[in-house]
Formats: sequence, structure tokens, C-alpha cells
Amino acid sequence: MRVTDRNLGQLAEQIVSADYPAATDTFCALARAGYATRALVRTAIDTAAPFVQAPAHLMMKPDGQLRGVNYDHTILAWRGSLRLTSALPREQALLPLAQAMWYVPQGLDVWDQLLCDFPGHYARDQERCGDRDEQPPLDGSNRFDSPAWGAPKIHFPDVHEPVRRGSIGDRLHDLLQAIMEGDRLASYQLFLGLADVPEARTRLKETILFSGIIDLQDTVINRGGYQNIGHKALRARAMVDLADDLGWENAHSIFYTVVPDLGCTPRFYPLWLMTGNILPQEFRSTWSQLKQLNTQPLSEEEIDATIDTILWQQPGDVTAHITRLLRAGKSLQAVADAIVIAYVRYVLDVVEHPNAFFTPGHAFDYCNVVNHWIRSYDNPHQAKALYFEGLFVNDLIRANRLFPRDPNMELEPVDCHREWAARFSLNDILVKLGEAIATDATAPALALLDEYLQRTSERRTVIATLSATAARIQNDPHIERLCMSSIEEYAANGTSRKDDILRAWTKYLARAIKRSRELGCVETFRRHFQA
Amino acid sequence: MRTFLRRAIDELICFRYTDGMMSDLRQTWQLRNDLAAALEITLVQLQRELRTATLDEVVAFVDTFAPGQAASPEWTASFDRFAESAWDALNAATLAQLEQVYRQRGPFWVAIANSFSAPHGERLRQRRWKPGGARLPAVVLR
Repeated sequence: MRVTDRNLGQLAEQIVSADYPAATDTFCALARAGYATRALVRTAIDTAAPFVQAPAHLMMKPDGQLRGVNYDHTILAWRGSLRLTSALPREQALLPLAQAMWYVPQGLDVWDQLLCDFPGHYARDQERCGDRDEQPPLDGSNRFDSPAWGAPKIHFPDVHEPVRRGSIGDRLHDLLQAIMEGDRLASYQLFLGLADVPEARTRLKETILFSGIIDLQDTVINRGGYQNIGHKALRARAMVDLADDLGWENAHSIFYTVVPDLGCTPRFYPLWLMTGNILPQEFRSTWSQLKQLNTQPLSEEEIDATIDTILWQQPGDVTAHITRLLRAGKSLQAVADAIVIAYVRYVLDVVEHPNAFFTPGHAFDYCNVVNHWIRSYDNPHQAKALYFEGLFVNDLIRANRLFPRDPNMELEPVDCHREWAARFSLNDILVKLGEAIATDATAPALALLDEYLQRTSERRTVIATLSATAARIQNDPHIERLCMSSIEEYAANGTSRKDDILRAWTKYLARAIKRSRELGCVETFRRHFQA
Repeated sequence: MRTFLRRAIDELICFRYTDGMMSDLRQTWQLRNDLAAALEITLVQLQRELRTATLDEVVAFVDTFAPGQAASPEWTASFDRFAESAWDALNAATLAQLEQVYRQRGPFWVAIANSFSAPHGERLRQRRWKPGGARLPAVVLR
């Protein structure tokens, strides 16, 4: 172990005081000195956990209007980053973790950030509190960047005893009921009791994912903050993965970060109720056995029809299309794979404006959670989730359509760069691909990727290149999450079009708006690991 | 126009009730021709309406593409096609006035302002495609 004058207590102090450059520096110093990275991640999660709850995800403003309150993304940053390390070359493997550390101190006490009472990226970038500051610092800095002038608030204290009464089955049922009713305290106590029972673990993980998946709005169109764009499911997945990764015996702070929020206001069950009507009507008593009964793949024509319906038709058409596929005996996984391909075709064929990637990206990540749940667990309700996925992707596409297309944001055709891309060796293509993404050169990046995909069946290195390029982007946990969704869906997709997932991933990285173009985190990382 | 539309509607109803299976290719082609004729007439009428509209009337219509006034996302998404029609029908001065109106409204309206900018008009003109023997330039439907 190398010598360092830093310690875990210092790291915790820097996190709570929202001093993200110092926290990242300490994190890297400790990792470089030989501290186990998982222990460092645990320390960071333990420290942040009390400060990431929100009283509600709706807030009434002084004028009586309601606004949405963002969901905690610190846990999403850790989950995406920890998973992404395995896709990267050894010398860069810890960079995503450094990025998560860079983000976490900026993502505490979101509620107070929205009120300009605590610094962080919501206060600084989203609310632009610095612009409203009546007494800005004399040196011209923005006090909503860092460090904090007070402590972040605890909106849900962790002082609750686990509930251990009743059978496992009854407690799982009560847990789901408590989440749906919004009884945060009861749901958390029930969860803590169940988390202590190793033999209940698989069912508990499945139940938590299920509870997040079914909590989904039917539309975001003209709804303002009255939606969750899949965050209940995304955070449930983060909890399950991180607990598996760090060990359930070490995961109390991960539970504290995620479980109480699953029952937080508002909760949305319109699609859950709709599918509860449709499936029994259409399939009588067999609706709950469709995963076992339906085994057919989709034909290429059916994949085309799925793409056309999700991209260009109305919600009712999406519902009818999925019902038709299920009636024709198509397997749940095959339908889910086609929905993913529909999303990637939207990204590839339609999206141009850098702002238009963000919410559909959430639908893709939500699809990844659903598909992981279908692939990994059994639940009689899984056929319902296909409607959730298809309608969610369709709704976010339609929501984007509500904003007129800006002709100045038109992308040049990929074909213009094919001849240029064909000149490079495979290795040089990967170098150029990273450069093209870093400079927002979307069409060249796509031409390079196409050239690579055509010339070789090798995919591991190109995935590593995309991951390494993504890991340079700071202040945005969505990036690591998108990387993991793309890698997982690419590996699992059973269609002939799975390379389109890599194309859409590339286009997203090259074209979607970036929260920051600065490289402070990369520079800190380099200072410690590549000096 | 009424004859074309009536026949097209009857054919569409028939199309829907036969679950997309027309009785024969000839009938499907007849439906295609009737809808094309109806669309041509509509587009010509749109040109006339645009040419006789005042600036305020055009602005009031363009405002219906904003999220708060649009009947649906599909209505807003059709703005691109309206911009093409505007570049076919309106003179340069009116288009410049339209650009100015929306440019002054701020960032939320920038996409619409850019649709009436001279460089965009030039791009549209370069892409205009009228195949030999066609009555009107080809249109993108949506």
C-alpha cells in the first residue's frame, strides 16, 4: 500500500460539504494508495445516503404551481460506473468511479438545491441559482457550485426497526402493497426485515424490481413534473445490482438510499391498471402463463411493423400491436428485443437536436431494467411490462414531436464520410471514432463505426472504445447508465439488428447535449494514475 | 374535390373493414390515385390560402404548432411540411417578416424562426424534386 495522508473520514467530510473536486482527489489518492475501491464506494454511499431522500417528487412553489423534484442520481452513478469498469482497459478502469465520485457531492439534498438552499448541479445548472444570487461572491465565483455553506438536510431519518413478523410470502405482499400505497415507513421496515433473510433474496430482488417497473406514468406530454420517466425502476435496478456487487451484508445504505423513495409521491399506476384489464380480456386465464406458452420469434416483417408502430403511430396502436404479437404466440423476450430495436431506430433515423436524446434515453434504460427482469426472474405479470416498454418509448417519441424540428440542427448524411472512413486500419478507426465522438462529429463517428462493424465481427474492442470515450464525460450519471444499458441489451438482443444498438449508442455519445465539456475529473484521475 | 374525397373515404372504410386486404390490386391503386388527387387539390388550396393571408393570419396559424395550442404531437410534427408549403407560396419579404416575428420571441421559438430563414429556404429549393410528367413537386407526407 502506498503512503497517503488522506483517510476515509476526510472523504466523507468532503462529500457532505459538496466539495466534489476535493472528494474526487481524495478518492483517487486513496485508490492509488491501495484502498479497496469497493470499500471506497461503500464509504461514499454510506456518507451520501442520509442526504438523498426527497420529501416528495412534487413541490408547491410560492405561486401555488406544482413542479417536479428530480430523483437522486448518486446511486445511479455508482451502479453504472461500477459495472462499466469491466468494459474498460485496465489503465482506465477506475475512471468511471472517479466520475461517480465527481458527481455524488453535487447530487445531495436535491430538494434544497431546487430552493437554492444547497449547492450542487441542480442549483448551479438547472435552477441557475447563481444568476439570482443577491449577494454574489466578490471574486465572481458561483457559490452554488461548491463548497456548501451548511449541512445538507435529512428528509427521511434512518431510525426504523426491521419488521420480521409473518411469512416471507405475506411480507413480500405487504411490501409491495405499502410501496403502492405510499407508506414509505412500512415499506422500508418490511424491506429491512426481508433483506436479513438470505433464502428470501431472489424473491425480494424480483419484488423490488417489479415495484419500480409498474410505477410508470402513461404520458409525459404536457404533464410538467407529474411523471417519473422510469426512475423508480432505474433506482430499483441500481439497488439490486449494487447490493449484489458490494454484498447484501454491506448494503444497508444502498437500501436506505432507494427503498423509502419507491413509495414516494407521486406514484403512477395507469399502465398497470390498463394491462390488468386488457390481458385477462384477451387471453382469459392464460394471460399469466404467456412467458411459458409463447415461444415464437418475431419475423423481420414483424420487427419492421413494431418499429413503424412505436415510431409513428398512436398509443392505442402500440397497445393493439403488442396484443397482436402476443396472440400470435411471440415470446416476451422477442417482443422486448424488437421494442429496443424500435428505440435505436428512432435515435438513428429521426433524432437530430442534441436536447432530444435525453428523455428517450430514459425509456431505453427503463427497457433495459424490464428486459433484465424478464430475463432473470419469473413473474406472472411480465407480459404486462411489454406494454409499459412500448408505450413509454412511443410516448417519449411523441413528446419530442411536440417541439417543431429545427432545420439548423439537421445532421449531415453519414454517406458523405464513408469513403474517408474506409481509408483507416481497424485500430485507427477506433482512435478516430473516439476523437469524432469527443468533438461531436456525429456523421463521421457513425461512418467510422459502420466501417468497423462491416470489416470485422469483433465487438469487444469497439465496446471498450465507446465506454472509454463515454467515461471522459463528467457531471452526468446518465452516460454510464446508457453505456451499461447498451452493453447489456447488445449482449442479450436476439434480433439480426443488434449492431444498431452500438450505432445508436455512438450517435447518443456524439450528438446528445453534454452537461459539461470540462475535463476536471479526467485531469484529477490522470494526476493520480498516469503520473 | 368532393367526388374524389367521397370515393376515397368509401375505399378507406372498405380497406379498414377488410383488415387491409383490398379485393384486388386495381382497387388499391384506385384508392392511391384518389388520395393523391385529393392531396394535390388540398395543397393547391393551401397555396391560395397562404397567398391571400395577412402576416397576422399566418402568425396566428403558425402559433397553433406550439405545444400549448397543438391538438397533438402529430400536429406539431407536421410543421416541417407547413414550412415547405410556406416557402412555395409566400414571397421573400413575408418570410423575412415571419422569421423576425419568431426570432424576437426568444429561444423557445428558435426552431420556427430558423424554418423561415433564408438559408433554410435555399436548402429546401435545392432539394425540391419534380419528376418528369408530375403535376407538382413531390411531397414528404409527414
